Amino acid sequence: MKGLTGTWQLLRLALRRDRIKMPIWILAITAAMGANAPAVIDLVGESRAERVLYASTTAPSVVNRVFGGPIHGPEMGSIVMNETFIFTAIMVAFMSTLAIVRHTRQNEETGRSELIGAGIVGHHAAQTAALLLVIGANIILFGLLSGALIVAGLPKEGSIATGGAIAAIGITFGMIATITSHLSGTSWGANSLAGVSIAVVFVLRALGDSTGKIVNGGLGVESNWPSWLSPIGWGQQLYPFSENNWWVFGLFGASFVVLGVVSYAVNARRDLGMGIIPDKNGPAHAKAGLLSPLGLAWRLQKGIFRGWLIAMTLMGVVIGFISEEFKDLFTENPEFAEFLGEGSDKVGFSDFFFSAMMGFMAITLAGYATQSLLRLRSEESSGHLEPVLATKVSKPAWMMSHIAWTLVGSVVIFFVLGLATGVTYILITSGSWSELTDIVLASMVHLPAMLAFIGFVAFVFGFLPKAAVAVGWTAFALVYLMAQFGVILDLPQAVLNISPFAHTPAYPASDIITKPIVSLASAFVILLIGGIILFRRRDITTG
Amino acid sequence: MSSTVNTENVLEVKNLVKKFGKFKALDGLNLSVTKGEVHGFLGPNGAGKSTTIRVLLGILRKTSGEAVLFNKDPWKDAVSLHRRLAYIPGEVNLWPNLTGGEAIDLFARLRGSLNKKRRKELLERFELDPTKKCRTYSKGNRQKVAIVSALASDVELYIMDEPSSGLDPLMEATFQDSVRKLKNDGKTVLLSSHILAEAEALCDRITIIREGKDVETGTLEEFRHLTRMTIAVETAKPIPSLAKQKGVHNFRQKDNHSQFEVDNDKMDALVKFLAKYKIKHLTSTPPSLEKLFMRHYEDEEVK
Repeated sequence: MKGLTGTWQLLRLALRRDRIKMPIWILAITAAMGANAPAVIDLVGESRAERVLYASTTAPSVVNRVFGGPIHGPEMGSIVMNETFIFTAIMVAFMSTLAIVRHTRQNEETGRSELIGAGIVGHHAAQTAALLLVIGANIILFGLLSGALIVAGLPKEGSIATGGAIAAIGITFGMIATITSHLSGTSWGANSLAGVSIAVVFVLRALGDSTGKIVNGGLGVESNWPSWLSPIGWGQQLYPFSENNWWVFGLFGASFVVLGVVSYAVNARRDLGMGIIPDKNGPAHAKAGLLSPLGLAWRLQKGIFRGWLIAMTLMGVVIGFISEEFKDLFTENPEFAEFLGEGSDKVGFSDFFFSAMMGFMAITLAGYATQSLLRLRSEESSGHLEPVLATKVSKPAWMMSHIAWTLVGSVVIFFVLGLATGVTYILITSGSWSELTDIVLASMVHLPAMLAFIGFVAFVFGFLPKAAVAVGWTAFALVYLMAQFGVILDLPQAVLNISPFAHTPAYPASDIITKPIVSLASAFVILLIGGIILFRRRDITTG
Repeated sequence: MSSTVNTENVLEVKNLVKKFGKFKALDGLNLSVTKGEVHGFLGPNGAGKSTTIRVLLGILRKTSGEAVLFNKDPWKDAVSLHRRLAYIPGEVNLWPNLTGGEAIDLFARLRGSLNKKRRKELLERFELDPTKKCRTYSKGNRQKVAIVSALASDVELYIMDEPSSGLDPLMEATFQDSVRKLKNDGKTVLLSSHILAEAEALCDRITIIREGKDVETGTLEEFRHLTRMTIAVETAKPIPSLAKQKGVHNFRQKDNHSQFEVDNDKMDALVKFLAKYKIKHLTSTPPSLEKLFMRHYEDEEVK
């Protein structure tokens, strides 16, 4: 196979480049499932009665079916699957797609491939090396995850099937990313397309699971057909701890073959550096709106903003939709209310539900802040910033032009999220429009915490430019994980308080108190000014 | 302003030091550019040319020494200084999803001014399609975007960091024409390059930099006086002991033909010596910049 000459050397290069990144991903994913399994077991309780209670309240819940999947029965393994599987599957999908794009399209975009391609390297070597890296990482994950579940006390066979399903999902998305890397001419485009494919796969099974039938005497769900179109759905249809449908792995095998054939066929035909989706020509002259730092920053920020705005509008509609079903459960089933946590029975349903949901969405939106602000660093490291600063644009003006859009974007997205949620909820429940203000406020009340987070990322950019990307995303991951699993893992309040989002009053379940809001806003101002001063004083660094 | 700085110069660098950690990228560099001249800034890769330019643009902060642009501090007064200059980077990185035309307009407007007529002229002269997305441009075409944008701005000083890298010979000639035009208009140009023919064709004065230090500054004429002429001579009878004459280097001889280099201050003595052997034909060639340049680096290798 002449096309594969040099694969081994390229794989070694890829391993060398990823020697820190990949182990962090693998450990984080192992931790997401491995550390949560015992915590879930502890929280639910091991007696049959407790497990049956969990399954009977979980199976009918559309919320749970969308975010957890189809529970299959009261087995402990099924419960752990329900709590951790989708989250882990999405993480492994991102790990794999980002790695593939990093070692294929990104190399082409930066011109590294041309240098590599001129050496004694076959046409398929780069893609094959990237795939081998991802397959290797997923095989390691298979071992670690299966081991972690067995150590947590779950049955061996089911643990191995679960680990295998996660690894198979990772490899599937890796192969999908080889195709998106062919389609788009930029790594940003390839990653976006891969992200869309992950979202589609998530939504397909969410559709199938949420419209499924209740089976097993009210303790299980049989998914509708759309779940079978989704690789994440296949992982769940394995029902590792109850049925162990090993044959489902055949679906993964078949998808590997199909995706592989398509990807290699395209790779054999495509010119280096070009995407399959052709580049259209554009305007010969810039519009007046582009010709300022703010105009340029908008051009660079609008894609990120639009993506998040669309996603959050859809999430708002989904939350509005599921609220009714949640409401029934809440009012008819006191045990469920109790399960949700202390105090949930003391406030009205909508107050409790919307404060909880908006709290969760706010933390997700910290991802928007991170992505949007790290554009500062990618502009600097890619060399785009230098010629801009050689004009009359000052460093603070340039930095603020991006931060301004992050701020405007945050306000708009929080507002639209609250609005979409509220309008859907009121239409679905034929509720009173007077509730709309409260629901919009439930979302907007998180803005001060968002500001503090924005301030932090801006400060990191000024202070530690070379580590900014790693520190920014790590901060987001920590804030997210603390909110998602902090209570399950029983972390002390002092640790949880590190997250700015822990200080936001849970409006409308509790009143808006001004003190934390003022402190968070002050933290934003201080961090932002500090970040700008540090950026002003430091050198511009590329690469 | 310090008294050591000549305020008539557009650009003045004295004893400039820039350290990256322990590494000294600039180690006591001197450079001065007077108004209206095209000043060549020559040196091999990694000599510190781009670092110097980045300090002058206020993108990097000097460690010590002096750097002055229009009598102002490039770090502190970056914004007001940048209204008066245009910069062509050595490696042009453009936003992949902007068109070339948009990038040209953007840089020109961020600088302050765009001469629309000149923009159109330049696009034609450089044969650049402004409707293409920047990610589809070759290196040469990306370079053209930066060149067109800079030249379409009306400013006093043009700072160019290896501006013609990636251009084909035809475009290189077009580029040289454009720089001559700037000079005729009384503009000042700092031209960093390692293409010696380009510097030889365009520059009034040249500074050679090596390992962060300036090793030679002057006009091409001055350089030539400091160094050796190449002499080719044909005499009626063979010359014994020519190679042993003072100031003669790189001596080669075939029958009555001799070729060698001679130190400028030994020229007179040598011509008198040659006259005794009845000169039939003699050519004397001044050293090319390339030779001057090579000499500096060869010297380094000998050390």
